[in-house]
Amino acid sequence: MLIVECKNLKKSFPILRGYMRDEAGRVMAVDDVSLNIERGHIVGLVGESGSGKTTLGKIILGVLKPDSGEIRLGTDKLQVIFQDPYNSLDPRMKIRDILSEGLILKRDTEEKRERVEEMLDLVKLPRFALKKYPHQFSGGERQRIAIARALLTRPEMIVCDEPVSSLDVTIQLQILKLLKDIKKRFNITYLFISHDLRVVRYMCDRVAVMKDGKIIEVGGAADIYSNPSHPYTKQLLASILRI
Amino acid sequence: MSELVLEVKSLKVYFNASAGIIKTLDGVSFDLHGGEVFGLVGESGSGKTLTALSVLDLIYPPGKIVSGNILFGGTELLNIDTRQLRKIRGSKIAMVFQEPSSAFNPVFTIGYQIVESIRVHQEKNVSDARTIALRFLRKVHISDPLRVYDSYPHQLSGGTKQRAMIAMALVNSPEILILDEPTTALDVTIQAQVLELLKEIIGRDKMATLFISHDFGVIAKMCDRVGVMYKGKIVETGDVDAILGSPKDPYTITLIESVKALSC
Repeated sequence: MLIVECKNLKKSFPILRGYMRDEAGRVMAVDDVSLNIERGHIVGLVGESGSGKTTLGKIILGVLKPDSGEIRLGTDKLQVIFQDPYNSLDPRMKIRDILSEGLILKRDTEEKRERVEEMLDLVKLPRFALKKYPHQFSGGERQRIAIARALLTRPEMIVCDEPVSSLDVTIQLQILKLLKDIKKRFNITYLFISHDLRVVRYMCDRVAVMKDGKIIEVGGAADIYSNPSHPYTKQLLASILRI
Repeated sequence: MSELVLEVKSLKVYFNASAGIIKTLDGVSFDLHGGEVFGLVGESGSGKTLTALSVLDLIYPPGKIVSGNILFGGTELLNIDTRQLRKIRGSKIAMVFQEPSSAFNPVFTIGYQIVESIRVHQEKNVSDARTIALRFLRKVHISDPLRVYDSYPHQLSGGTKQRAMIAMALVNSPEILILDEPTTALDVTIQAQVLELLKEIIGRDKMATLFISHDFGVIAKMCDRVGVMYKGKIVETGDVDAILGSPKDPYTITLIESVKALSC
């Protein structure tokens, strides 16, 4: 069953030049993209900076409206985890407030408290974290907080936009393992955006490769990595540094 | 082994913070020999960049070099006077920084900045310096050096900027090249090209190179020997193959296991 169905999506942004900020042209951030995501899959979206990965993610989240094209969602329970855990958590809010904000419509404070604490255990953070502020945590811990926040509203799909790229490699592995565990436990669908082909290979069932706003290749992860058909995909894979 | 070019001995750099003294570098020692590429690998905050900055005496308050020795061809760099140090910095020891967009001054053209770097260290008039600058831009495989010469940093792509940065580091024929995460800000395909270029240059000019990276893949491709840094110390040093094959230190083992789990 499909959870996301995109057909011929287009989104462009103006290029502004000069003192008067005149429109000097438009850049096609997403250029005729069609992508289907099956429920329960982890779909990787790879590409270099500026290829349109994040714009496509935002269109799926409904944050951006496409200029044209169709998008059909099989759920309205979407969540997002951002790249930079330093900017995505409000520095003025305590962790308890950050986490319970998504449950603001719940009247039952007892239930709210229980759900927040349960989620904290799930991402392996201690209870006393609730009384602290974001700056008191390391990058990896902050990303755990962001994950807990995303999970609290019981989403069916999460757009993970470069969730580990600002983390050290040992911490990357911990967070990726956590995301995999969560996926198994709650059967959440992930759209996993990353520029790092190694991370995508570790996480994803399917992979879509983006370049200049277009998806140039889609397929099973194992297939694409062992047998890429597009020259750009080949070039990307050849650039992976192995040890 | 060839001659010793740089010797860093039990270097300690402390930062005075309100919460107390932070021992950012806590006794770092390593040697760099002529023609060798020595890598420093470690996580963010482990002290890699600070080690490089110490070599050029670019530590500013609240940071302070508390003790240790930095010997450049036998000369102690830590108590040398500023004027002499300036002669070494940028000419005999050159550095390429991580972020090419912030390492250049945004209000001057690339050409102007390279020419400045040449004329600070060599007695050349502007037109000679310009010729040298263009020659080095060609050397780093920039296809249209004239355009790049007259461009401002924001007009160039990240890859081209980093090539220009490398050209600027090379113009005074340094004996030591310090590369601080030179490809981290670049896309993977561009990273591959820049690493290829660096390999070519280092191989040809036989420069002693200190290569800093958080990416073991990059280190494995580029370096002969490597020091693994953790919390302000080098926990393990050795040939790259030996460390990758049989790491001894517990932190190195975790690090290499993580890298291998994520490799494909």
